[in-house]
Amino acid sequence: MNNLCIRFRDAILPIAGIIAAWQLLAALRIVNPVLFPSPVQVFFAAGEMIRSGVLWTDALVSLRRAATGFFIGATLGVLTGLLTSRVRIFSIGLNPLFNLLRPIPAIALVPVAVVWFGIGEQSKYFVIAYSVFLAVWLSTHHGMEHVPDIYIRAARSLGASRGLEFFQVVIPASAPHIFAGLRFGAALSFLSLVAAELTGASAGIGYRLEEARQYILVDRMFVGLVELGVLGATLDSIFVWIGHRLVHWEQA
Amino acid sequence: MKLSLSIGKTGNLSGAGFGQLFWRLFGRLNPYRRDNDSPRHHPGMSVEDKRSETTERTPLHGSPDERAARALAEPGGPLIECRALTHTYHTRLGTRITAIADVTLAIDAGEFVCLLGPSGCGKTTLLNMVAGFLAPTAGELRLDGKAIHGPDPDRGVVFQDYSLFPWLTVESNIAYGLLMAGMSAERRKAEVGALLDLVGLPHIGAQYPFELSGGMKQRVAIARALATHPAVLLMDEPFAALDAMTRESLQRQLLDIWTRTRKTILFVTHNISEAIFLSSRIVVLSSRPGRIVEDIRLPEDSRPRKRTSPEFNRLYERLAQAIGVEGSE
Repeated sequence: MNNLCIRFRDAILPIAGIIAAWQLLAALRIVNPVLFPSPVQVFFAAGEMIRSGVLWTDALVSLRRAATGFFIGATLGVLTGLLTSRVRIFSIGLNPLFNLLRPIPAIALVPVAVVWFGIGEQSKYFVIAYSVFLAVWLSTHHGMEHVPDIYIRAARSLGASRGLEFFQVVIPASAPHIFAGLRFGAALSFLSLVAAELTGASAGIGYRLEEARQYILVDRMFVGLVELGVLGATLDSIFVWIGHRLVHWEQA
Repeated sequence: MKLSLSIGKTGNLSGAGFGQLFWRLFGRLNPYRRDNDSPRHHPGMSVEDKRSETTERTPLHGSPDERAARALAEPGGPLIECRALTHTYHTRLGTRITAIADVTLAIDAGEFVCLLGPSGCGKTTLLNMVAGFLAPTAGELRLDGKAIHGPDPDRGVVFQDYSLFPWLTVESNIAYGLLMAGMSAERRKAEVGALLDLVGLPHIGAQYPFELSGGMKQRVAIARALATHPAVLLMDEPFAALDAMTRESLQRQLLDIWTRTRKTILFVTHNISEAIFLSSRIVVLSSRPGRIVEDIRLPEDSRPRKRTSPEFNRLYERLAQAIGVEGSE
């Protein structure tokens, strides 16, 4: 109970403080309230968006895109990471390509994706999956390459074959790295989501931001930003929660 | 973090349970699974094991008397035989380094041999070759008359760094070699229980390695290495990372295990008093390239050896001189 109080205090109080400071700043009217809305204005804008239903549909549409893109990218990333870290010919052939692709931001791929896949859902999946894939591949590849030699030696001298050693030693030993990559990939899926939705979308949080820009409705933009922040933070804490249990021996 | 720690201690799986369950199930993912009661025998599996085949494996390590009788009954060459063994390698900058040069050594079954030498004299290289982690550049290396090719459960290894698999419980760590040999779950459980008793840690089977102290981890590592009934136990400075008090208590325990099992032990150390306290024979290697400079057999009459006795100190002086360092402690 006491513990819960402390967690409540640590989580809620800073946010309440920030909102209070924000309200105070807006009430001073240093900046035009149309350009810098107060929390109360944002709250009312959100209420309006909830009543018209766009808040939920946007969130659902965006979450579905992020989840689909993440799933595709993460699956391919882990599988490719397994290949490039274990099979030499794959690492020789693919690592240079991936290292060239990594500095290219997801947003730069949007025009290409629209030409290739049209303005439908596929182009969004492509952009999100692309950025998730590279992050997950890199951490999987790195984690598998750096499995401590001592575990491999111990397993071999206890009679493990190479096939078994892969499943029973290499994968669990690199699981913390793979999981860190998945967590980073989840955050990236949100970043690239907005990039993908800024063009050629008719719903979603990114689209709503772009729409609000056209009507200069800054309060609605803020609703979108808060929505992204809350969804992203919730998703991340879910990943942390799973990670603590899945790779429970990593007492980081 | 605090949560999973306390859960591990109490053995209550409610909180962190799904991760533990996940890895337990994942570990079962075994495409080559043979879950039968006849343990697979490797081509070079332990001499002692083949001997004890006829008797039965249940008395875990046999009494010393039985072992001695068997050893007498079966004449033969030495257990480990190194002939003109050399190992050279190239550093990243291309320098050629000879770690071990022309080492000829024969170790009999039941001996406790310490490889003693200054840091970087190639004693670990020699151990790694016996373990099968490194191949000799030149020379011959045989275990029980058969050439050594790669690691095998007939040579149990205890490493200097903690090598227990952190994702497995202590029990599963110890049982790993038995699982690989295809032993049934019930027999694994019985063997693990006996091994935990042997190393004096009967109640920690359900814990995870990160919950243990350094000394406990190394005792579990010894149990894991002994589980497959290896012909020889290879130990690479296993107590070097421990504090002085823990180290001495582990030395006493290892000595106790050796007297009870009469397992052949090859033990690498740079600690002179550790070597004198433990071994029945001390092989001193010179600095790079490693060559044998002394080969001393110690009398067995005064166990455990008193670190303060005059004989102990005389030997200490002699070894320190052979190594070329004064009082390397």
